[in-house]
Amino acid sequence: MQKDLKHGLRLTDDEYERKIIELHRALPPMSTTEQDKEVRRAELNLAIDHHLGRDFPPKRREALWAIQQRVEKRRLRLAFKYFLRRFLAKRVAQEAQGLAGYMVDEYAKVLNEDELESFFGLQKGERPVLPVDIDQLKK
Amino acid sequence: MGALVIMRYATKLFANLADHTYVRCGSGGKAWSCWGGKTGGTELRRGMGSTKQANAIAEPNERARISCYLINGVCHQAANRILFPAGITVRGARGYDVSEALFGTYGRPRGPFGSCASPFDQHNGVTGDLPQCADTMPARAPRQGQRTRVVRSLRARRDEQKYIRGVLAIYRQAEPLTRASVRRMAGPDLEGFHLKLFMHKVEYNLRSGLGKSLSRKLQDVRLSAERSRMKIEDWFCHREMKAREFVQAFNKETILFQEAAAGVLKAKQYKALFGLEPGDNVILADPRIVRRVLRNR
Repeated sequence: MQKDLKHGLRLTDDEYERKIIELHRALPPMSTTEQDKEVRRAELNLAIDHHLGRDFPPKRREALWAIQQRVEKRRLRLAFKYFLRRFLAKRVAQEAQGLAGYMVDEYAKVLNEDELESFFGLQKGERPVLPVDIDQLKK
Repeated sequence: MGALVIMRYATKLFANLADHTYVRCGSGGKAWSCWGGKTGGTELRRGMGSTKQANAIAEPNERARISCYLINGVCHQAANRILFPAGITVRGARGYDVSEALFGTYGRPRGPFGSCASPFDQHNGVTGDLPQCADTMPARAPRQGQRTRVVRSLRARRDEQKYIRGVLAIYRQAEPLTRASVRRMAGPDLEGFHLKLFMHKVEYNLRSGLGKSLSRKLQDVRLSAERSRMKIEDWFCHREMKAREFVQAFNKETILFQEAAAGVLKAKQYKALFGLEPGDNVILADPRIVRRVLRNR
């Protein structure tokens, strides 16, 4: 059963899925950098509405958006190593997992334990994992 | 419209249990790998949509233009793109909340300085279904060429219903032994019950390929696995084993069982019985869940 996080009603799984798909349906195949930013922002707001509640305070939404932008910068930095992935596959994989860990740690500065658990589906102390396949990374 | 099915399996034993996801159509005639394997695993969900559109989105390399793995996204984002015609996502796959927060639902469209371009072309003009994904139960009367397929499908359904009836009969037979008021089913009764269920499945999945010798070998493999399982369960119940050790021992037994079965079955038979390639071993106990359920052990 979902914990009451006291941020009002949450979007149901189906509502969330539908809204996310609607958001992308209107987009061209290759969005501009500005559109991309708007989509990321809208995705974050929907994720907050879904995992935390529609009344989640605007100030804390802003704080999560600031984190999301820092995470995005790190993701772009990781791309430089990606081009050497044939030699650095393990390292790229570790750094990608590290990026996931960094994101959760940063979110933890804004969200309490229950909120964090609800947002990422992680138990207390559990580290986030990405489905990384080293062999695929070398291709 | 055909069905698009989300399949998932854990990516690595023990350490990293995030799910790999891939997509296949309802008939199983076509699967898209999404930067990983495209066989085995279990169904997560399914939705209706054009399999032709899904195939166009997937592109020949089946990565749906997620160009740079871990930069634009992972298998989850590739699968979501392919699932777009069905209007569903891989939510529910382990690790998805993390990958979605990191890469978005459909992946990041670019890397730095124009690198890793990863456009999401939804191919909205594409409709219909791939021939290999065609529904085996057409709404109208089938034409001559389709009849054989429909008959086969009906036969498969009848066989499946027969199989389920057989399973229920085995449970019914065991009912007097499973009633809490009688006693806990254990030892030879339990062994016999599991063996009956297993051999019923073997007969259903292998059919004519099952000879007497193979049947005996499989019975031995299953009995041996069951006895090992009961032993470690007993140790655990008597607190001679901690939860973590129990999970490890249980998973080890699961792998040993699969290896032993692979040793007596041909590759084709193994796949028919378990839905996996020999060597593509799976484990069943997730340490996280055991930890959660057995917090004080």
